[in-house]
Amino acid sequence: MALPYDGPLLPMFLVIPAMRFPVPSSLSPHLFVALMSALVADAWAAPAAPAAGTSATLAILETTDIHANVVGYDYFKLAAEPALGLDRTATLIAQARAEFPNTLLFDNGDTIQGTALADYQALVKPVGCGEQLGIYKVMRRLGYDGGGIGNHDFNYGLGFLGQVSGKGFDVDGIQSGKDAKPCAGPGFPLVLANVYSVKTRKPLFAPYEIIEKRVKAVDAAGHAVETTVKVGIIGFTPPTILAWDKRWLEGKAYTEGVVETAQRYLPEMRAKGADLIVAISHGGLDATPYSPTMENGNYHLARRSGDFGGIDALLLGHSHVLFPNPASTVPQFNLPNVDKVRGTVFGVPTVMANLWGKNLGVIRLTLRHDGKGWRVDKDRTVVESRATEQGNKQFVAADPQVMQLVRAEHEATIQYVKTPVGSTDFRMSTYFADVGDSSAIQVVNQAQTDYVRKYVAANLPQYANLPVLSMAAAFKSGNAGVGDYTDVAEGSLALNNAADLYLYPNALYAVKVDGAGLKAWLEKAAGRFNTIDPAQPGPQELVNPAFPSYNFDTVTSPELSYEIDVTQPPGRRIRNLALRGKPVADGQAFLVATNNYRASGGGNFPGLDGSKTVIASPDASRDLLIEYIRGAKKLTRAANGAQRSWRFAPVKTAGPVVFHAAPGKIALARAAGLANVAQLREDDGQGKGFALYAVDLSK
Amino acid sequence: MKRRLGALLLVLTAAAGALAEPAEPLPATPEAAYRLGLAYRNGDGVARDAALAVRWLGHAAERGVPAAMFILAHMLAEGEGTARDTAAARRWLDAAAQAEYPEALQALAMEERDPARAAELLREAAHAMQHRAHDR
Repeated sequence: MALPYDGPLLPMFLVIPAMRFPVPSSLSPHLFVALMSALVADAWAAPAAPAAGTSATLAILETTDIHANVVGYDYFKLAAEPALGLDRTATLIAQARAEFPNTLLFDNGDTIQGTALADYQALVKPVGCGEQLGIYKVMRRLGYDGGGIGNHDFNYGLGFLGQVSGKGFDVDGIQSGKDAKPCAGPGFPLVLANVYSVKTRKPLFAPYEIIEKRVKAVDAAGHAVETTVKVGIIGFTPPTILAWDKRWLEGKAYTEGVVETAQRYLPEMRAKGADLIVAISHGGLDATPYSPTMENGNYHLARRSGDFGGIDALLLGHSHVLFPNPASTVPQFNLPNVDKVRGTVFGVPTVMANLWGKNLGVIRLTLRHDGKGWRVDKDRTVVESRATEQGNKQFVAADPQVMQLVRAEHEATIQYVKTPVGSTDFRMSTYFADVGDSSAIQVVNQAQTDYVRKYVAANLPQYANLPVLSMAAAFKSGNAGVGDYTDVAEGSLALNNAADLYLYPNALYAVKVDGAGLKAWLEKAAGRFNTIDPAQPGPQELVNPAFPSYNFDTVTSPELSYEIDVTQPPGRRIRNLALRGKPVADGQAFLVATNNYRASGGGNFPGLDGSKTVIASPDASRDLLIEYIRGAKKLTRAANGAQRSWRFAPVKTAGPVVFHAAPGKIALARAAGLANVAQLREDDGQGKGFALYAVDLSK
Repeated sequence: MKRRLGALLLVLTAAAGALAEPAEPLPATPEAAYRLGLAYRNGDGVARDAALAVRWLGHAAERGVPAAMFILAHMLAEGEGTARDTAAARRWLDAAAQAEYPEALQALAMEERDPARAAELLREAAHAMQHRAHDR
């Protein structure tokens, strides 16, 4: 911005709740200040200074961790998602404003990041200097009085945050704010007191603001009067941002502990006339001994706040849970001096409004003026949270104005996730993954293998000679119904298709295992199947429904081959395991690409519990799949959807071996080269829409 | 990072040797107890001992190491190195999920029958993974 931050209170930061003005980018700061001063004089001519005995009710409203869920929509499913979105919180806000004579609305941060819409506006088609972010457009229209900054608000870097917040940080490596014109900010004050510029040793944001809140009150004689309450807001974020966003912050910003920061600023805020102090602290509670670098320092902030002049309302976030909540089993809300029923921490009224706009936090303060200042009648403080879900998956209506405000950004995001990144000449599906169709699996293994090979070449020369394998499984195979399969049509592949091919929010991990470990892994995966008795004349079910498809890890490499002998009990089924035609030795070492879930112990596979991990990539499995498809441009059946490393060990069975899948898909089995599969019945008779198929294990 | 882990394991191996002594020194940190628990579980540098693995993973879990809670949950569910206790297993899995351990959130999502709740847990897991990603 044009004026570097120079002190805690510049006149241009004064907020008049009933009046908000866009700052025309052409308006000089001096003219703006003069204009604001005139308006301030006019606006505040009417209300009288409060007299002793005047009382008022003020409700502090909190949203937190909205994560750019402006409207309730899932951009990968391309479907409405009523369980989240500020468009429904807006309805709760309107209800609270109708209920209480005086309200102040604050956001706790983690606001600008977290959806495809946010990525679109930050990375794909970054908003221009003069444009407001979609989320801020809506928040401004909803009349937010202030906001804090969460750790994720730093995820796109200081340049972006400085731009969209309208601040323009004076930090190394970022264009200094001195000569740049101010960009469009949120239209309400953002406060953050514990993050500083290394270059200037000053806070990046205004550490606090004092809002002169015009309130409807009742004087000592019981007459309605209008007067003002000075509400100071101060912001904190987890000092751990320095580790989390090291790439953006190292050498540019430093943090201070929340307690030290409160000690520095709370007395100053009181000295400047703050009747009330609202701490907007992006973090939770942690009762372990205090450290200035701790992630969730607010237990200690509340404990110590009385020493520094006190906090009248503490707004929390970051932990994605609800407070107060009598039923909460969350450890941080079951600490000494935390009252999860009344909503206090060391007696400080405290709220945490969950996440994604699902809840609105409300702290209702009853104020009485004693002639010198406003005092809170603590016995009458009420803390609560209100949910958009009204029970049984019924939600309050969305405020249609929200979508109207961001329709262009919303539609552009949908177009972005539908943008082709490549194409496929074959249909990629999981209907027959259990009997060997790798059409939706091989490309995942290829992407993972490719990533690990490149990573090892660049970073892990000690593993350069190890064979690299990859494991992948069918994440969707009818568990949630007959429509619950991966099924990507032939043609163009877009970002949302990648979500179908790779359902889980995993990151790529790689483990180093030996031949015995590899075999044990495959044995565990082969638990997907029941033990088949070849002599039994009646039908036998192939698949053990208690063993989910997402644990049926398979390799699809031309280098590895193995058989699964389903006539043997679990643990003794893997046969003829060979690498490049040679039997795998127990002591032979491999690198195996997988995901964080499996490598860290998910599914409880033998030996996989985090101890074998040699690559813990920050890159999402889905993203590296997208990059692989981008590089391959066109996936073909021959190159990307036909390779199998495993086969059933051939066995002639007296009766049919059967399994269930969506009906009418036999052509897909044929296209996958599975000649040994037949559809026995269009309807398997179990009433869920599945067909009965058979696999001939002798072929 | 990897070098640091190697050094840690050396320390742990020394600590494991010391455990035979009557007065067992506690691992220096909960993280060290977690690594020691894994070492006993896998026989990495020490004799494989599932009961000791449960002991040290439990020590770490009680001191807030989500990765230890997650593995301990598996061992309790399977009766590995301890009596099978599915209720305790579930409590540790829930505790790891509440600590935003992505793998625990994903595990809960995978076994969740309500698709809306499962989707929500996966969104939480995705969010939690970002913390880990930005930590590197």
